[in-house]
Amino acid sequence: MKLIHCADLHLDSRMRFLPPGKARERNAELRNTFSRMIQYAADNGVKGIIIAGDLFDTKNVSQAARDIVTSAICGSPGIEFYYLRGNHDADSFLAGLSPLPPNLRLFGDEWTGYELGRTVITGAEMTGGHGRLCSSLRLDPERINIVVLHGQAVENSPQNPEDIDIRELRGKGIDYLALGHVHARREEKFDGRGRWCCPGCLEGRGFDEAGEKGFMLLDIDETSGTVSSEFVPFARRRLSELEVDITGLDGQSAVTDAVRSSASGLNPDDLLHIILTGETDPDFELNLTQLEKDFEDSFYFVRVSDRSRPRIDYSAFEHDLSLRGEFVRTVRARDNLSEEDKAAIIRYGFKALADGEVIE
Amino acid sequence: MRLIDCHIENFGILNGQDHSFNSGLNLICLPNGSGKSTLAAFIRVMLYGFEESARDDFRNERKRYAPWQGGTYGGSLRFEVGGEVYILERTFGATAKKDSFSLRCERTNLEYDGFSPVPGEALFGLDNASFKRTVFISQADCVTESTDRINSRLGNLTAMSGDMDRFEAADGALNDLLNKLSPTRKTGSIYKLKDEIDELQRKAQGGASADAELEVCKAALEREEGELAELKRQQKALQNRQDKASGVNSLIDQKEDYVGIADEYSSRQSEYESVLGRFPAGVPDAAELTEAENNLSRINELRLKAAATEPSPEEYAELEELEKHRLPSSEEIDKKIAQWSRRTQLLSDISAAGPQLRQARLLCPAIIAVLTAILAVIAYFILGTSAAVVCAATGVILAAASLFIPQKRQSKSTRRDGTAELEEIDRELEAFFAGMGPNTDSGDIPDRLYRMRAEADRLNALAAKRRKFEEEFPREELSRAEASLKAFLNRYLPNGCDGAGEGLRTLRHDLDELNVRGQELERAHRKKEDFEAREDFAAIAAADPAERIDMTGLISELRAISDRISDAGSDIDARKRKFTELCREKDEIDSAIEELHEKKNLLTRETKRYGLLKETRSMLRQARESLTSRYMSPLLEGFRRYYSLMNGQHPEDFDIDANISLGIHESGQRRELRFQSQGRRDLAGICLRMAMIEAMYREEKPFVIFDDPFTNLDEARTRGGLDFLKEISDEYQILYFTCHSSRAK
Repeated sequence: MKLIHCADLHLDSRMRFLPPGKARERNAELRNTFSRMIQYAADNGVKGIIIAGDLFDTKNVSQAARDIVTSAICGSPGIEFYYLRGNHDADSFLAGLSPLPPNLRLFGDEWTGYELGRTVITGAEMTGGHGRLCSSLRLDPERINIVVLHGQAVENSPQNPEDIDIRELRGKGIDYLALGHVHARREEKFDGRGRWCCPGCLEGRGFDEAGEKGFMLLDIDETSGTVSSEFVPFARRRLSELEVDITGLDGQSAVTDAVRSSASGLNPDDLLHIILTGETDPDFELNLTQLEKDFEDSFYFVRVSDRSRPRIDYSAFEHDLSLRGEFVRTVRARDNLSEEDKAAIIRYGFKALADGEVIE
Repeated sequence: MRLIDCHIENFGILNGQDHSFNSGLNLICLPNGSGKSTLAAFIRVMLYGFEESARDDFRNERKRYAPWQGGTYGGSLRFEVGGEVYILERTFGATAKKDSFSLRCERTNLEYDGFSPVPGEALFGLDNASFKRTVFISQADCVTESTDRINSRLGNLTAMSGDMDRFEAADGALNDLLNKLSPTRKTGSIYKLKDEIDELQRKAQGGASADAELEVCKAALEREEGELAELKRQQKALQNRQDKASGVNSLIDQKEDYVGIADEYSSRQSEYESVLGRFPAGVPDAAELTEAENNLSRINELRLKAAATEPSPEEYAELEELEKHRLPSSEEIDKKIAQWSRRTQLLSDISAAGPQLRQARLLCPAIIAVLTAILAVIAYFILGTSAAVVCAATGVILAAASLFIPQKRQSKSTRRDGTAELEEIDRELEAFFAGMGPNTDSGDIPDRLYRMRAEADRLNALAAKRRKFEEEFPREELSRAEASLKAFLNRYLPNGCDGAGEGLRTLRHDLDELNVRGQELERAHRKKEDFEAREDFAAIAAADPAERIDMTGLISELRAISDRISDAGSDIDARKRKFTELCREKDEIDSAIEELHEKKNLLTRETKRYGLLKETRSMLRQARESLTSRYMSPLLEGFRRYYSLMNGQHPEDFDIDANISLGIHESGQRRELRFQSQGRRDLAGICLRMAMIEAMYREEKPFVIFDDPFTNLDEARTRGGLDFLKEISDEYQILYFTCHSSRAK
């Protein structure tokens, strides 16, 4: 029997970092990816889809998102949907569904289990925080137990309402702990029998969600009682961060060439965050806006961040009688500044002395 | 550097003047308006060119020093630097483009470009502004302050790096950016960002109450949905009771239905048997009855046919009567009729033969005469008169001849043949009528012939009709049909009937009714059997109508609870709308919180940047002060020395800061020079300028222009000033302009 485990779809995300038109387009793609996942399930004989929280990003669900989810659920009567609400989800979506589709299974504050053959899918929404929820879990060890929660697995005392002390779930007979909430994929064994897995979000929505995104496909052998899982990359677009070391480069075009070389082979459909690193001459001036423009047609979206540091050779200024030399010596003498701050100050000062203006 | 002489072609008030300068103190004492300041300005303009920026005529030097009489103006300046003499020549036009410039080395008489493009800057290492703040001391501007170029010159750094003179631009840029970012100015981006954060914080503070309100709404929604569920449960229970009562009542209704079905069956059975009683001799089957009906139909058909084709009795009698007359055949009669007609014709021809001959004898010559006359006329017109006469004569002859011979012979022959035929016809007619009773008059013969002809025709027709009937009518078939019908009727209607048709119709009607009743009975039977075969028949049969339940109360209760469910549904819809609205508000708050987080991060970054920029500005200033402080001590020393020289006392209360700004310590406080008297300011300014010149030019000493700078000094200090000039003229070439002899002694 096959099941899909997904989480953190965050439909209706704002995606402020994108221009409004592209943010709208990406939202449409998020909805479309959800629909494609349902079609994938139908095409591959998947019996059920576990949504481990944060199906929506906002409390007030847009009509477009509501329609796409409702039609996907109602249009797939052969697939059971196990929807556990996360901290972003509200009841506004469910409040608009009357009656609830028969294949939509919900969870509440207390543990709720649904049987699917020998498998039992048990979940609880942590609306009131972690509390004693985990300790109150009772499962039949003879069954194949899949437990659904929306929270972050920790191995210490929970600090946040969404923290799940994984130690409390050991020895409970869990075969697969389907988690949501953390947007990066992670999977670990937590006792001799089971493992927990956070599939990450279905589509990246910001550069803090870079990398391959998708869902977990579970294959349950009800005879042997084994649960195997594999990650299925499924996102329409990938968000990538590309670090480019510009140490030793002495001009805008050299940097552009270095970025072009590093970015070759990346998918033009991607959203790319170019991060410039390394050490540059303090006089080196880079036009980031121009750099973004240089690559705006090569990718769906490009952002450039300069994290390079000016390379200060203090010894070179030791005997420099100029104002620059005196300035560098003055900066160097300040003990209460970090080297990073000193480098930034020197870059500002040099820029001001060179051009009579400072980069804003 | 030393000025040697100059020639002024035209410059302001000056025209065609030559001035020579010695290497020490050059005193130029002239009355007001004689051009002292103009001469000083001429020397400066020769070295630096005009200041073009000012718009008003007084400040715009090009206009200010344009010769009153108009035309090109300018002059030449001869000076010595490093042992070499140079000749600088300039002419000035209305615009800089019309200026001319020439610098030649006197020894080689070649153009020298070592001091281009502005000789003053190359010679003094100062721009025009810095020149005016140091070596060019005018009476209105004794007080001085430092410039980048002066600082640079003071630090003797120009040769190593030119960046000291960029300090002001850098400091200005940093100031501008810090002002833009300022957290304290209303226009500062950090200030605005803080405002935005305050606004977002205010919005975000509603988050807790929005959460609480959302929770309250959610709880109310859950409660209302719970109440709705309870109402639906009650409705369900009532519906169950209703269903149960309906079940009992339904059994009773069905039992009543069954009784009706059973009654109907009995009724149908009686009706069927009643109709069956009409067939005492048995029920004919449909085929038999149909055959009988067909037989009757055939009989009627044959009888109708016989009625149409068989001669009537009157015709039979008429035929018999006519046959008795032994009439000749129709052909014979027709022949006699024809003979009679011939006879009549013959008689007519014989009597008409005389008059016909006369008419023919006259008609023929007349025709010939007319034709001949026509021919004669034609001949007359064509052939002439003789031909016409011949033609007319021939016509007359032919007409006369036609009156006689042929007609006479034909008439005689016709009369003889007709009489013989007539006699023959009369004999034959007589023989024909001889065997037919008494003779009749010859006048009756035609009537008798035609009457005989009619009787013969009638006889033939009647005989033919009888023959046809006898040949074609199926007499045996009719007999068989009549016998079969009779046997059928005798069998099924033994008591007789009013005619075979009526009997058969009665049988048909009864048989059809029997079939209908039979079908009705079958249906009623089947309905009854079907009902009895139902699983719940036993329950239906056991139902007691006395146990019927009155559902009025139940229906009323159900209606009431339906109304409450409807109201609860409306309330829930309204609550859901409220919930959605609260969700939207919560989203806005969440969005504000998210934006607040972003703005706070931005504020942190911008504040950090602001701090670093402030540090940058501070350390840049610190670096500059550090550099300038290196020459502050010698500068202050020089200032004090010159001040003592002019004032006669050591200026312990003066100090100088890194900005080359003088201050005076009075009553334990440092005061800026601008708060002192004009005379003291001028005195200190002159001394500072000289100190700066001394610090700036350690090797090649420049000339220094004093454009009557002692006007604001008292007598003692003026004397001190003159002593000061004498003192420094050992080392510097001094051009001292004054308008008053008291300041020249």
